[in-house]
Amino acid sequence: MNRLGRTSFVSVFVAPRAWVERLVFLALVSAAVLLLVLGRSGLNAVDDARADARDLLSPLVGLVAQPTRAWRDGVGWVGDHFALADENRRLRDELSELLAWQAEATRLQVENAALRDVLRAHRARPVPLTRTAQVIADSRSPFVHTRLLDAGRSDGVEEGMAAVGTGGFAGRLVDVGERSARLLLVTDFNSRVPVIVLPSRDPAILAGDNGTLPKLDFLPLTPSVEVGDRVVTSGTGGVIPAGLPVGRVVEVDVGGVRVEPSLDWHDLEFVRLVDVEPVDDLVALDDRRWRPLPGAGVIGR
Amino acid sequence: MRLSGPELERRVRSLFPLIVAVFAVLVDLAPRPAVGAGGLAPSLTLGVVFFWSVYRPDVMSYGTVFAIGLLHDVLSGLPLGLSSLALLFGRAVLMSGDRFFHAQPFAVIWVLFIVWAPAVEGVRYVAGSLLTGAFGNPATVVFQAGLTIALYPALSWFLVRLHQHVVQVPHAKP
Repeated sequence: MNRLGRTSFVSVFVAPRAWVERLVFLALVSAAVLLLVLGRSGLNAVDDARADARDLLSPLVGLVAQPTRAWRDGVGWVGDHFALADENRRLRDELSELLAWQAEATRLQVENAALRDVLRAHRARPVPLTRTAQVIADSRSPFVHTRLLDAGRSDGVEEGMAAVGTGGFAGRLVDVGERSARLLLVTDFNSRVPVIVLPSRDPAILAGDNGTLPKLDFLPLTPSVEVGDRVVTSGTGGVIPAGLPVGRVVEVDVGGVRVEPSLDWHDLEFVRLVDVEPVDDLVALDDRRWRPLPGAGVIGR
Repeated sequence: MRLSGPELERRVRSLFPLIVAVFAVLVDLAPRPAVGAGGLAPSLTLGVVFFWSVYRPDVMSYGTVFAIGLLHDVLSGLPLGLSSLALLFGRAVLMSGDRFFHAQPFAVIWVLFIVWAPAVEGVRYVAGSLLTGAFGNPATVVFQAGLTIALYPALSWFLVRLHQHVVQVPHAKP
């Protein structure tokens, strides 16, 4: 009787509660799947809602990031003091080497300017720097390599801008909200960056694959790429400015050419955002290329 | 409807697990020293969701778990709904044995976490990889889950104290 009574109590009160929980579970799983499908469909409304929510939360994210930053800085400060003597020796060596390079660079700069004057060639503009942004969140995922920045449209930041961190090119902005933006790192699966390999000047596309070493695609049929070659942005397409250091070639074999980004991953706290090269200037450059130079033909006569 | 004093206090206290979980998401995503571009680091969120799903499933409901996952996806840039799906799966698995877990020593719970955490990360990895078409290195998932498992005893110690002093109503009947 007692046992029967308990069973009926369970069946009347507990079982419906369990059923409600199951229904809630199914509804939420359906909602999650729906969100995934809508996200993949590329609906602007979903992206906008996400950007708005992120803008709203970014001050809180930045606030929580502060203590971890302070802790990291503190640890770094202690480490730096222990390594002071070694660091000093290394810097002296580097300085003597760089002084020699500086003399060579000055000589080449003068020579370059003189040759440009002779050819009346277009003078390369300095890369326009827009602003510095702080990294406030890290995706921490094996299949998405992105960072959240604390700058958005209200700070003059636009989609497609290139970001440069300590050591070199970090990536470009793909999702810009009013007060926050998402930086797609050069190692991300969706990252494609037009580059050239130096000194051969072979053009290629640097493609991320979510590993630590992105690969060079679309190299010429007979590339002359060697381990240790430098890789810089080519500026092709006018989306990313030319000449930003990307990294060095570390692997050349049948599997492809791999590049180690020169970006310091451990010091990716701030990035400099550089403006997209204006298309007007490229058109002007193209016009100038085809305009006959004054005095052309003099040499021929 | 006006709530009585003790009832209001109970409800306010039961919000703390959600607040701690939100804080865990923010800490998880905060830039900190990590290995490589993938930024591998332990996941506090998994530990927090697991802890309260085991000991107080009433304060870590499906709705709460869904919201925590959504917050993670909004901030991390993962496909919206992915973390919610993985955490809902994890919560549903624990649901079936919630009464059994209460009487178990910490070692048993930790062993359970050793199985549970990689399973939840695995669901997120497989679903995310299929969805984005980008199959990241699975070793990173294993490594990340390993870090999370190693951190769990310390996290659990902290959460037990938080539960005793903040979430649990003093002199409440067990």
